[in-house]
Amino acid sequence: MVRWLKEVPRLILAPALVAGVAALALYWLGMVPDYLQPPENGPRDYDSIAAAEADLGMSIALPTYFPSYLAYPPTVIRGQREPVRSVQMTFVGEYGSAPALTITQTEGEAGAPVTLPGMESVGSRTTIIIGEGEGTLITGTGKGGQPLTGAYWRADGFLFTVVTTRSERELLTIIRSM
Amino acid sequence: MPFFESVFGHYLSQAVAYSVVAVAFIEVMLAVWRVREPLLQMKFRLIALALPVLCPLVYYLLSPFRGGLALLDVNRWLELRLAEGITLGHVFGVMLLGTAVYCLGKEAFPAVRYYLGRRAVLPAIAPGRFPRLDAARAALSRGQVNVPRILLSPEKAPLAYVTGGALVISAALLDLLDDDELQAVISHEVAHSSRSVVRLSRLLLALRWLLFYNPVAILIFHRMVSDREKLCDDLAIRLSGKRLSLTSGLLKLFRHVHEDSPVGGGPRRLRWRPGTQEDTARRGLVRERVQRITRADPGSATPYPGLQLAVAGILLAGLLFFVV
Repeated sequence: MVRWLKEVPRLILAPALVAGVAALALYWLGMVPDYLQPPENGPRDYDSIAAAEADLGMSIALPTYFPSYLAYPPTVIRGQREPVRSVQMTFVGEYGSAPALTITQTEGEAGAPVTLPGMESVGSRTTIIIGEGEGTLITGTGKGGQPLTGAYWRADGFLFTVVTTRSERELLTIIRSM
Repeated sequence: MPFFESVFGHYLSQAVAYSVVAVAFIEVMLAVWRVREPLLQMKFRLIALALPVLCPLVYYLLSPFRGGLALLDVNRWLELRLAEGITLGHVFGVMLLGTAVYCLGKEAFPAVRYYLGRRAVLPAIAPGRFPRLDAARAALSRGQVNVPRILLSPEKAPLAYVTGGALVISAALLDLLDDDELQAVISHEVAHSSRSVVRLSRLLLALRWLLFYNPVAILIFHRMVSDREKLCDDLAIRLSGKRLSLTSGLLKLFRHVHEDSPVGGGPRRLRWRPGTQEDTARRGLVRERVQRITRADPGSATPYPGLQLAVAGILLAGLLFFVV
């Protein structure tokens, strides 16, 4: 028994470590093609909102209320053409690197269940008025239990989702300015 | 390339990708665990051959659309554009085709020709015809070694091989080797007909044919043939007790094949015969075998080999699940 326990690091831990390193190597290898030749129909990153609009062939809605604590332009603009046209913009706080606001615009009217990016558990849901239609306001938490507020609604053939680390009032001001 | 988007094409590309991952993983584990026994090395390398045959099918049935889980998507690599109209998939397809043609030309067709063609029935060597052979046989029998019936080959070159449960030798072999060397070489060939070696050889051959298009499998296969020769060397030493005679017999045979060509240069090319999955008289392999035999260092036996095989197989199968 003692001899077997002494062998455990060699018998179990060593191959597990090798498998872990191999998994990491495979993951990096998996990223190489997208780095060398980003896929034509996405998902891919864009340098600017204008470039994303030109490539995706759609107009991207932005809030006219843009608080000073948010850095502009977005740090990440990720879009795709297939299976549906979609763009996701991530804005960080002015002095930090953590995402403070994420806006997603996805083509389609279908009523599939909506998941808000970054929101891992949902607390409350409330129906709200956005423009001439209705939307849903959601409070919940993200990674590490961080409180998040988000909302989603449909307009002009798109599904919009907005998630922020700020207050409900701030979120409503942002989305009503879009 | 559309072919690799079909189910069959996807299977081929997965099998090759799995082989690459499997051989790297297994060779690292053999080094980490310092596995020296040829039989155990063969068993590990069999995992590297078998999983690429089975896993693509099993994983396709279990979870055909696991792209979202993928660490590595092989199709993304195959879609990489190398030049106008040419992707990595085209190059990959040519490589597979080349490998398949090589395998068919070097192994399949000669085998088919051998089995379908007219073969001379080799005569059995009657007792008393070659007294030295009888003496070698008697010595091995005293050591409880079951020597199969011995047939005489008409080849002018010295050779010894096992086929269909019989040992085939040529008269030139008896002229070339002394008594101890003859006993050691016969022991090596008898080891090839032992149950464990025969079972492994058949499994190896089956996997070889199933992976005829896979260039990585060729490398693993050649490695395993080397392992098998070393395993038979170990068995021969155990059966005959003649370590140094085995070395000198091996060297004599190698020198004769590679230096004593009738036209003064280059190795002799012997006709294809069963069991000749590759030229086991390669210089590198002979050197490796001689060094190993003369070193006389079996190393310590690997503890818990069954557990090691199971752990390696399970971890590797798990890793391969995330290669799509």
